[in-house]
Amino acid sequence: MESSNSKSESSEEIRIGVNVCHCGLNIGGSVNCDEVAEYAASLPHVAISRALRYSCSDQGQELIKKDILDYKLNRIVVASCTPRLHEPTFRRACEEAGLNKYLFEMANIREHCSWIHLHDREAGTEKAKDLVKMAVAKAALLEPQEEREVPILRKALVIGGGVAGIQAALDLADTGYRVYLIEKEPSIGGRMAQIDKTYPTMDCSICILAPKMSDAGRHPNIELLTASEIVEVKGYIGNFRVKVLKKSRYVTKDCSACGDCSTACPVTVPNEFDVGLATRHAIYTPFPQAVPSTYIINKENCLNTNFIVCDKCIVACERNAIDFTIIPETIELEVGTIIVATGADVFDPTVLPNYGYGKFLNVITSLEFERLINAGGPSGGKLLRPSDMTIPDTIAFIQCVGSRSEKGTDSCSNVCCMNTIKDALLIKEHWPEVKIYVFYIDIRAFGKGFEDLFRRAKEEGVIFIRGLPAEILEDRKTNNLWLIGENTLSREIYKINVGMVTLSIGLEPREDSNIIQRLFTLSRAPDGYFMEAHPKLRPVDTPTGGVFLAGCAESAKDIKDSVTQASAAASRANILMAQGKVTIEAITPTPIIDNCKFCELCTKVCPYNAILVDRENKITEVIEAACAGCGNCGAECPSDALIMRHFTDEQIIAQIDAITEQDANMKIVAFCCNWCSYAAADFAGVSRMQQPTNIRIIRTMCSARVSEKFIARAFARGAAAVLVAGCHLNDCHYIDANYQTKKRVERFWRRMERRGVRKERLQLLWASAAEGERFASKVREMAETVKNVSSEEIQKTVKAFKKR
Amino acid sequence: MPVKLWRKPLDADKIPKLQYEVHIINERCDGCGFCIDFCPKDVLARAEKMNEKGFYPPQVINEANCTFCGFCRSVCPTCAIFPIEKISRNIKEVE
Amino acid sequence: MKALEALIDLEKLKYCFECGICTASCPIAEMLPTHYNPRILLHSIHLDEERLLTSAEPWLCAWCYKCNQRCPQGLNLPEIFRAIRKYAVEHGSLEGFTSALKIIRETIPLPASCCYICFHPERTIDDSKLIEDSIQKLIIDYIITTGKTTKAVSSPTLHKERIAIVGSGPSGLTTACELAMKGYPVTVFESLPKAGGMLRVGIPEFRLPKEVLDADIGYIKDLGVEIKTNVAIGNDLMLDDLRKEYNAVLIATGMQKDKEFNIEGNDLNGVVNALDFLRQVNLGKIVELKPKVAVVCVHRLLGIDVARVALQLEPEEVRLIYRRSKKRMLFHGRIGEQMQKEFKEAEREGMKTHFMTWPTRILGKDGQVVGLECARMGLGKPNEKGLRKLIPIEGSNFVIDLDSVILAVGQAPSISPSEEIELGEENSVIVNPVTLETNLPGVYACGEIAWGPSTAIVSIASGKQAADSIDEFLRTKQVGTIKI
Ligand SMILES: Cc1cc2nc3c(=O)[nH]c(=O)nc-3n(C[C@H](O)[C@H](O)[C@H](O)COP(=O)(O)OP(=O)(O)OC[C@H]3O[C@@H](n4cnc5c(N)ncnc54)[C@H](O)[C@@H]3O)c2cc1C
Ligand code: SF4
Ligand code: SF4
Ligand code: SF4
Ligand code: SF4
Ligand code: SF4
Ligand code: SF4
Repeated sequence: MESSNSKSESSEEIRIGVNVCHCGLNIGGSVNCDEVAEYAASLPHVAISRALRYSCSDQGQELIKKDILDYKLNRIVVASCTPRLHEPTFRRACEEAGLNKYLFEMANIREHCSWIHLHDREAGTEKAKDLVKMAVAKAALLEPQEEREVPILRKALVIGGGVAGIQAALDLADTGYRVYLIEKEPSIGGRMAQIDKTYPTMDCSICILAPKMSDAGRHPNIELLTASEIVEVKGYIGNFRVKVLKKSRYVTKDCSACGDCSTACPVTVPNEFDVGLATRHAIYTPFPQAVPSTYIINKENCLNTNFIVCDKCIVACERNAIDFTIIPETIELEVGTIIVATGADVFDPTVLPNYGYGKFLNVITSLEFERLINAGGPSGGKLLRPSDMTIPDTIAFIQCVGSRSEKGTDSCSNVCCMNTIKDALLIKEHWPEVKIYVFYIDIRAFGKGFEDLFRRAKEEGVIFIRGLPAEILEDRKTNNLWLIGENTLSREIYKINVGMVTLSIGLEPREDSNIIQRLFTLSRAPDGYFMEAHPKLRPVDTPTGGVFLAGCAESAKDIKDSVTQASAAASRANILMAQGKVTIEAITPTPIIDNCKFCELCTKVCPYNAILVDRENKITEVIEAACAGCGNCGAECPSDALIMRHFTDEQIIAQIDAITEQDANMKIVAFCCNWCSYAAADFAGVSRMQQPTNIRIIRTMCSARVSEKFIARAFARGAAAVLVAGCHLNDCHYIDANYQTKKRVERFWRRMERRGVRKERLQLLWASAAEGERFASKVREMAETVKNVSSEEIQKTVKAFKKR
Repeated sequence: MPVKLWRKPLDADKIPKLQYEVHIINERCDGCGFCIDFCPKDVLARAEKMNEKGFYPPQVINEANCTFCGFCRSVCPTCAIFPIEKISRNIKEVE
Repeated sequence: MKALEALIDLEKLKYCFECGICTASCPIAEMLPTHYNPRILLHSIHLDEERLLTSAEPWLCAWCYKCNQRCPQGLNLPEIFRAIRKYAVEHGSLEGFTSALKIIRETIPLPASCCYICFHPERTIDDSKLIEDSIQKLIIDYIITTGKTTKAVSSPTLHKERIAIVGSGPSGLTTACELAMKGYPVTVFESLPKAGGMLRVGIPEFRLPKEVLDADIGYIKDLGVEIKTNVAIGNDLMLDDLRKEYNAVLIATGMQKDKEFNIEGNDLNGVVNALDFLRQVNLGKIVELKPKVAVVCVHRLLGIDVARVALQLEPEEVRLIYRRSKKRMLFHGRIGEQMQKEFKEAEREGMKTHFMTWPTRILGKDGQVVGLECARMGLGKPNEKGLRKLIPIEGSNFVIDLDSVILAVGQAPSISPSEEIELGEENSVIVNPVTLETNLPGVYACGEIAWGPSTAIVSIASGKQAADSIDEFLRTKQVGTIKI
């Protein structure tokens, strides 16, 4: 464990091939790749080193394969982009040349080097050399590994019964898989069931959705679970075990949806489906086309709290379909793949006091507008304003309410511009005399057929004014509204009197997104929507294997895009299930029984209960199928009894040693988890956020892999500072493993304090994959700290942490 | 966050809201208070005045809330309370 | 370019997407549409930095923070404009400041007072002498423009319609001034012995010297406005009387009353409400305080003002009691800046503070205050706005010995001068939002009585709006038609 190239399990000579990639000018532009390649050739065990223009290209891969054969290479290092992008590509190339894919290692000299040091070629080149040295040091210690295959259950779970969820479920069911469709509301249909017409074609929304809904309800392969919620998810790709809480409807399948019960029910409350514009009873169906059509009792509204008080519905029901004894049940499902299609919420404009929503009756939201103008809605499709139920002579639409704003979501909601244009045209169609104003900042008519619709609205006489009203004031006498704002094109203040105002509210992530996020260990972008595995190349995958995204859960989008994405997600899930099996990465721990003291510390920290320690029979066993490979146990084990495959102590220490071999007093040794913080550093690179060159990143699967001895090693070798970075607490990709990270770092801080070492030199950072700037600022901040670390201080630290 | 429901539903006035009367036979009441406790709509409260037997009978404090569930009638051990439906009236008049 | 951008959080600047909300919210842009547009000013930072050095615009922002509260991107415009001012001053250019003063004198009613309480040049120019001189010159300018030695020329009376204005606060005086300039005979009725409203009896001397206010009011009087003090409408005279005698009546009575503070013992001798207290001090009716004073502070700025005024009467001790933390009290935003300055001063003057403390009852003996029982507060869970609820810590009660308690809770509307006027939320007068007419024809309302508590500049803008609307009504005898 002493130096980087002392030990190797196999007796065979180690021969490493190094390929330094120019990536066109992406790397070559700010790193002298030839120099790096030359340097690599001088490193121990390196048999051949060369610089390539594009190592990921076919020629590049062919060359690597050829080298393996020609030079009898048994380890390959590629210095190019992030392993999160091309590691699989190169691993495949190795395998094709007969080399075990675990004998491949990557140095990230693009995202973590050339892109963040665009203007300092010299320092960038030096850093690239270091990164290659680290990779070579680790490569020398790599071992071949066997991957295990696990079968994939040919059953899928779709969460959310909006149009996206329905489409995904139908696609998979038609392919022949069994599908469970979970919806938390009493009926499937989602947002689309609420809206009247759909742009750009002006189809009646429910008319095109209802057939799909009933298809989903009737499909022999689909099991519909409405009024249900996910409460627990266990397992892994191909073998998920999901617990679903099925709330009680209190109405059995015998219900013929005659509605007699509803008429008899004495309770009336606002109907959520109609955004409170209409009433329903305690026993109800949210809308006539609901699927399943079975009625439901809302227990919170119902008077019959103790089985005796009220029985009006029971008496009214001729088919005896009402049963108050039904209790909620928890169902356990086993599925191979999961599609998350939970949709989006709408913005609540009551947080904007200047628009008076919630106070002025005639200020409504676009969602309320949809119900108002819908023939099945509370006003029978007549455009009536709430204050006096008359047709207003003027209507104003205000765009971007709660979107593109720090008061709601930062991003554009994508649907409200076209939705307003659609609504304006609908009004013009039925009531051409109504004057319509649209106040906007930008009209975003980007999709197919959208511009035409926009043009038509202008032709019909809809008045578009650029500049949002600063406030809405109500005239108490008439309940008319005054809009005061600046026409930013003419630079004049307008004061306009209208009969009704529609706020084009934006979409925002579901309030309960964090629950789904935690259940499936997903990531969320800064705006709160679930994040895809790769924004361009894997747009419906999530970082969690076997879990896919569809519809507004991923980002605000319209129906067409939701359906497209749903079919894409279904097809991705289909690919997995059709293969029928998946290989699991060989990164699980191997116990060394001889070292094990059976202290059971590992079992206490394992988030998946994947280690069994039997003290009596002296057995320590890892259940590979359950282990996710976080390495928490390895970091916790005090007796070196768990070898984390592919992330062994020796390998990591070799990397630390490589970093600290030269100029350690200028360097920051960083440990980043694969999912969030390493990705954040990648993101900083992709966004070209320039940073100082001191940092050297060692990738682990989870920050919980970082054992205190690694930190001590870095300081003992004279490093100026150490950074441990992981996902935000509660966002950990290994349930809650990063709480251990926190504990270990805090413990180390106390150790530093005791030994008189400044705590600032060890930093802990939580950064999500989208927080590139956060990561970059941390690096800048730490670079300042490094400047203040004197050589005496380093000497002192080295002494303090040298092994005794 | 989802939109809060704050409006009076537009069809609220059109829903025929039946009205009920609650009748109490004071002198029969044994003052057990079951009806007061069990009424799901808080229609009843204890009266301030005793009846002849020396018990405090219930008193109607919020008749408009009564939903005619009949629960008071079912629990009353002395049959001292019962609701009846008012003769259907025009809603406007009621308001 | 770089120099200025370095002063400002550039990331934020880029996000403005020109929605125009700031401009349409801005009282200055409303009054000076040709001179001022915050949105465009913001843009000149990228386009025309040279011009900014000499431009009057950055100096015209009146720190009301309305734009900041409404901007979808939360841009802090007044802070950005302060950076521009600073940039100009550091480049030795006071040209913008001087031309701003000129614009203010010519177009803003009560210009001298506004310099003190709205425009705050001292927030960028450290040289207080320079500011004093400039404003002094501005006051003298009144004389020069009119060419007479001491008086402004009263405008010639062009109209015979007479106008009555109830209340002589900033909004009432603004309307009076504007209408007098349009040539109407105007009478202002004030219940107190002196004109000026809150500027006179609310704002302490150290923030607005009375002679500055006198100069402004003097100017308005010289325009021919008659001010009748010591006349309370609804008491000495009825609104109906005014309506008979005058062609239009404006109610601009502001928010004079103190909000009620429900605490055991608030009727004891020695308990006063803050606005009452300030009024009495400003009118010279209170010149001395009992030795031990506590200020119970709900409204932060009011509380600190009262504490400072009390300190100037030199009692033995003044304690400030505030429910939340010190940090929270000096929180940034519209009044944060003022707070930090005043707080420092008050501490220097010897104020004692009790943070995270709240009174539970006022203790009395023979009808006289003798002490204040307080509890320490702890923090509960944050609500959806992130504000943490305060929970009294059990058993933490303690008693402060004292003999006066001043309750600084906040403003409530004055009693409306007539029962026929329709009132809305919290007893504000309901007006047509554009014409400011009340439910009674020919009767208008503006300022805080119509819109609730806000800043002087917002009331002044509202007064100007009322003047335009009354003028239009009198000339056309019909409610204004509004151009789009
Ligand atoms: C006012 C308005 C007008 C619009 N107009 C148009 C238009 O004209 N044309 C157009 O193309 N698009 C329009 N859109 C956009 C369109 O509504 C969406 O693109 C579409 O509904 C997205 O479908 P979805 O399935 O992703 O989400 P949703 O329709 O929101 O469905 C998600 C479903 O998941 C359920 N769910 C959520 N969380 C859970 C959970 N934890 N467990 C179980 N179930 C859950 C929800 O109850 C819901 O039923 C409009 C949107 C709005 C708000
Ligand atoms: S029990 Fe009564 S209140 Fe409950 S749903 Fe049935 S009729 Fe309605
Ligand atoms: S779609 Fe239009 S209205 Fe909606 S957020 Fe985007 S720009 Fe604003
Ligand atoms: S702690 Fe992590 S690596 Fe160790 S057994 Fe558990 S899941 Fe696997
Ligand atoms: S009938 Fe039901 S609701 Fe009416 S008073 Fe009796 S218990 Fe209460
Ligand atoms: S309100 Fe904000 S975003 Fe809108 S124009 Fe003004 S500064 Fe720009
Ligand atoms: S702070 Fe007030 S005065 Fe200044 S720009 Fe904003 S709205 Fe105008």
